[in-house]
Amino acid sequence: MMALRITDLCKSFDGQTVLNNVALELPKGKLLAILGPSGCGKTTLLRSIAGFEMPSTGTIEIAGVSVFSDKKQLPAEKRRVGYVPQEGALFPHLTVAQNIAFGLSRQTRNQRVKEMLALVGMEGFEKRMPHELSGGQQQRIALARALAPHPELILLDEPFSALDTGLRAQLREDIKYALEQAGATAIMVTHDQEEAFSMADRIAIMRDGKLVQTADPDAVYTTPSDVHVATFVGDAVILKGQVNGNLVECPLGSLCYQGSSHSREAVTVMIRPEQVTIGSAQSGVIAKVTKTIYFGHDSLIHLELEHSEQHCTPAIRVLGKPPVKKGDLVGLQVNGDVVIYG
Amino acid sequence: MIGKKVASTALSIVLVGALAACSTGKSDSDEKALTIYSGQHKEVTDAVAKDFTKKTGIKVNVREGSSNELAHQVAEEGDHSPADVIFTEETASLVMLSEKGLLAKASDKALHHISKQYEDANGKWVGLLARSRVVAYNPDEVKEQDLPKSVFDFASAKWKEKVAYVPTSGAFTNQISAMIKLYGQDKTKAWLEGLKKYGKSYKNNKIALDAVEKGNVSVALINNYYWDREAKEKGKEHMNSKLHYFGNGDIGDMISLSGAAIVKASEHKKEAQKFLEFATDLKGQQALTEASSQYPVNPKAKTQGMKPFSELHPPKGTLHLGKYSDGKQAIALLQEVGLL
Amino acid sequence: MFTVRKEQQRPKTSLLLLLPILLFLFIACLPLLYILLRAQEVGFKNALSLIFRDRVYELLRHTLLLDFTVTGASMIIGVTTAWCIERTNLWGKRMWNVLITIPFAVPAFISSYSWVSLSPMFEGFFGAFLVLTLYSYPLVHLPVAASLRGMNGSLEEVSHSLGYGRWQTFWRVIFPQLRPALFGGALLIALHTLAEFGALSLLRYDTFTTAIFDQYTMAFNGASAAMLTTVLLFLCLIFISLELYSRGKARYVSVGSGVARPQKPQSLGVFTPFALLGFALLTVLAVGIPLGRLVYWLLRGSSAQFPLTELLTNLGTTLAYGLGGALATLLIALPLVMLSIRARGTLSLLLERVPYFIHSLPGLVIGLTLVFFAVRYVPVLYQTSIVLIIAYVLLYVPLAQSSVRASYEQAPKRIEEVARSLGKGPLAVFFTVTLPLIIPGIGAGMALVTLKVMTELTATLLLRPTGVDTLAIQVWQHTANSEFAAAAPYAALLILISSVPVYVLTMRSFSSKRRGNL
Repeated sequence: MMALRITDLCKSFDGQTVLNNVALELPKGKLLAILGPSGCGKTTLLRSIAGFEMPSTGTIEIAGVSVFSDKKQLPAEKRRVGYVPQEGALFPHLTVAQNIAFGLSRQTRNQRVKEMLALVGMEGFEKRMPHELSGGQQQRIALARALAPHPELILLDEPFSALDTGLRAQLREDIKYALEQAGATAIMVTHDQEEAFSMADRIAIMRDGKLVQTADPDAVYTTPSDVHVATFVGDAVILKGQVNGNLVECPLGSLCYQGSSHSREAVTVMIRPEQVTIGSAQSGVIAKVTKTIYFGHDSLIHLELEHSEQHCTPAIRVLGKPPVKKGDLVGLQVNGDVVIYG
Repeated sequence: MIGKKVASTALSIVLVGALAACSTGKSDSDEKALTIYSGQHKEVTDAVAKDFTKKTGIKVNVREGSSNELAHQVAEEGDHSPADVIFTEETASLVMLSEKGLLAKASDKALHHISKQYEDANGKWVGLLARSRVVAYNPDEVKEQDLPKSVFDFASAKWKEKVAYVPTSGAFTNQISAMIKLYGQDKTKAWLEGLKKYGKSYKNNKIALDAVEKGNVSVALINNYYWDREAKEKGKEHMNSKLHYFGNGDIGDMISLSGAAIVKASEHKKEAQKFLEFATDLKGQQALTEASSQYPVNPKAKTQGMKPFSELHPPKGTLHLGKYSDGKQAIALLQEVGLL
Repeated sequence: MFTVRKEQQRPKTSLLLLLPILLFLFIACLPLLYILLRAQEVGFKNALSLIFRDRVYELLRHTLLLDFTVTGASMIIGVTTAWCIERTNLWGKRMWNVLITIPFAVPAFISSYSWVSLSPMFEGFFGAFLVLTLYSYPLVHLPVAASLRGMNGSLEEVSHSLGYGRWQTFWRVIFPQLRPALFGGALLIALHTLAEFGALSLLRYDTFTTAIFDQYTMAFNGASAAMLTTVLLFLCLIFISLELYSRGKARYVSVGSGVARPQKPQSLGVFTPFALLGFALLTVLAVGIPLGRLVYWLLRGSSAQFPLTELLTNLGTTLAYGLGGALATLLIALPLVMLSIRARGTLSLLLERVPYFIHSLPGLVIGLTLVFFAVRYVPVLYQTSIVLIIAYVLLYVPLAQSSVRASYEQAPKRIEEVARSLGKGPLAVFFTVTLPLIIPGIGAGMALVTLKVMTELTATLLLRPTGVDTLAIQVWQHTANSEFAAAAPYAALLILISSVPVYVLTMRSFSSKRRGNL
């Protein structure tokens, strides 16, 4: 049984389509990240699942129970979902313990609050008021509060957006750990690729109210459904090319491509920068170094292909400090299959 | 938890308040309690009501307000009026109620206590007190011999900013009605326009008198009792102002009545009759005149300290104003002139 | 909250929310209906002749002159005092803050006597302007001060860093943010001034409201009074639209997650003596003179019999009406605010403005209306406290609305949503989350309405049960007869209990924005 099943979900607002035929399935115990630029409809989708927004058509089922259809609209309080909004939204007039206990019945309350505090690593904070907590601590309590009543589904709306970068990495891990320990099924909305890839079991890419690709993180990265997805989820070198049998010819050479061959000749080629290695100018495609940027743990090297009709300026990451300097000529080689789009 | 405590405390305070508000709700509707709508001064009504309760054991609830306001209210209330007796400053409002058929006849006993000229021809209301229009003047500002022969003369440039008058008082309206009756519309209008131009209007007689006392104006056109009551409290020697009577039958010395009537919708008519009988009888009249510094309508009652009634020289024909008695023409004229 | 969305963006509002609103709308229509009925009685032609006459032009001139000057001066004073107290290092800020809000507890009809009894030069326009301004400016000072406290100080710092001086920063950065609080307060002042009766009557300054009162107490038909009231309503419409226009399109819900940073008070420098002098002058004028006169009368009247039992009875009645009226008003104001915020739209915006429209009606008109309808259709209720409480609701809903609104806008919808998703129904969420969060606004609203009800005159005079007196009525009846010594004990007690709600209003916890970590 799926923890969540959505079919044909549509919603428009002021004549503008916000959700366009969204369909989604999520197995129990998985964490799905909905990734998309701001304004793509991802928050609306989340709020529709939670019951705060009413879609126009479609169905939503949570753990086999229909919560939204033509015939039936369950109010938010009957859907058994936990909701963690941006900035936590802790009840400012209640203590940490009271916040967590808010959705619990009287009998199980104390025990469960303790468990939840332990789960998010906040033992001993029971009596604190929300304004006495840091942003990260507030998010942990918000998660604990959402998990406490054993919901079928946890919804996280950009849960890290208000936090410092330094705090985020640790909190991500902790929250992922807490969700796993609780065996929770969760959906997280984010516009941050790193967040999605580091946390999610599955990623759904959303654009203009549509889910354009739903797959494992690896699949989304290596075989994005189109060029836009490819550039949205990571750096990519995009080139024009021509299919020639089993190979595609492009300024970076004749390369193997994934999937079956295309009958059409002109295609777009997508290469991830890490597929490209930099060697001496003796072998491979000749390029000139136009700029190097040093980041400490890695460096970015901007290149410009020599002898190419296409203006092509890929940027390649290498570990450590840059092995070349501006003006050097280098030879480029592409490893592995590339992805082509008709 | 703090929030909850605050909330519950606030709620309980509010609930207690609401309960208290309800408990003061309807005043106890005692079988025999009499409700009087009174436009007379509080002490006057209270004085006679207290003596009445002492004598008869009938409780009295007094609702105070301005006479016209209360008459208006009785008219609005119609058959549902909770009022038993209405006691007004001027008779115009009683005439209006009588015309609308909202008053019951007073008992013969009450009517017999007073002479015919002080009561309604149909016995629908009885006068309880009489009073004279007067000129209160401040001797520091103006000498008595410089005061004019007639109230009409105050409406002139000579008295610019020196005359206080109260266009919104019932007594003033009543005087206007009488003026229209005796001198006609045009002369009255000219006088009002003159007053508007040269006089200073005040919202009530007491404040107008105070203005004279302080010398802010030289004279005030008021009723005698405002001055007499204050003189009684303070002693005549402490008054900065004096009363002037024209003494020649001028309309500035006109006498008017304050009266009472039984409301037709009353459910306590017997008690109401008793009240009118008491108020017109010697004891009631004595209490009324003492509390009000107005003249009794029952000849047996005595006044104290005021200019004796027999020495007054009021104009004739102002006690009953016929078709002008409801004050409508006077109001229309006041509105026309822009004093209302 | 309280809404279950069914159709697209067409929120279905719960009955619990709609019922009080519909009830209120029904009652709010009655005064207008009453005026129409009265106007129709005299006939159209007569009605026109009652409106278009010289007296009405004169009243219009008087009313507008007073209204604009009082509102303008109150805005200037209120903003200045609020800024000095919230943003500068002025000496004795706490003391000044209490002192300059005291005038709010002194009913205008009491302070107007103090002035008139000093000198007749305070009669007429100047006195009316002085008394009403000194009485009204706290209505600007209080919300503006609260707004200044909640404002993010870094905005000012940004402005300074962009090269703007203190004065420019005030106009370009602070003032625009103060606008809702400022104009909200100004609207209330403008409407109150339109409807003021007691003070203006003592000060011999005629406006529409005093004229309506005169018409009513003199003439037996209410037609002329009703016609004047229509002109008054028209004025009120102008003021309301002015305020709506000044609000613009902005939504004044706090934006951004930044916790408002406490700001460093600015130094007044060479202006310090002027500021202190100004505050001292204001205190003397607004507090010293009225209270001084009152003490003088109290001492003079001490020889007179001290009516202790009557005082206590009247005190009880006054408190009961004050609290009862405030509670009833709140029960209407809360749903109105919730509807207008959670279901934004033209309709709910208009709906929210209806009470302001009624607010400009003199208590007299409200009183007459309720007499008219109660006697005819519900005689059982006539001259009971219930009808009187209804009158208070009609008169004072906007006061509760503005306070509740301010704190309700601070309670983010998200927090209610989280509570819903934790399995609590709309009612449970309201009582466990929303209500505790808006308690400051409710407290402030209750305090304001209690204050106003306790000092209300005209509707109380007309509608109270026979034999029931409030402190305000006692004061009025005595002062109208210039019995000031007799009025003094009642006036003193009234001011004393009025200062409780005023104190509540100055308490920071009740007016400051609860920001913290929302």
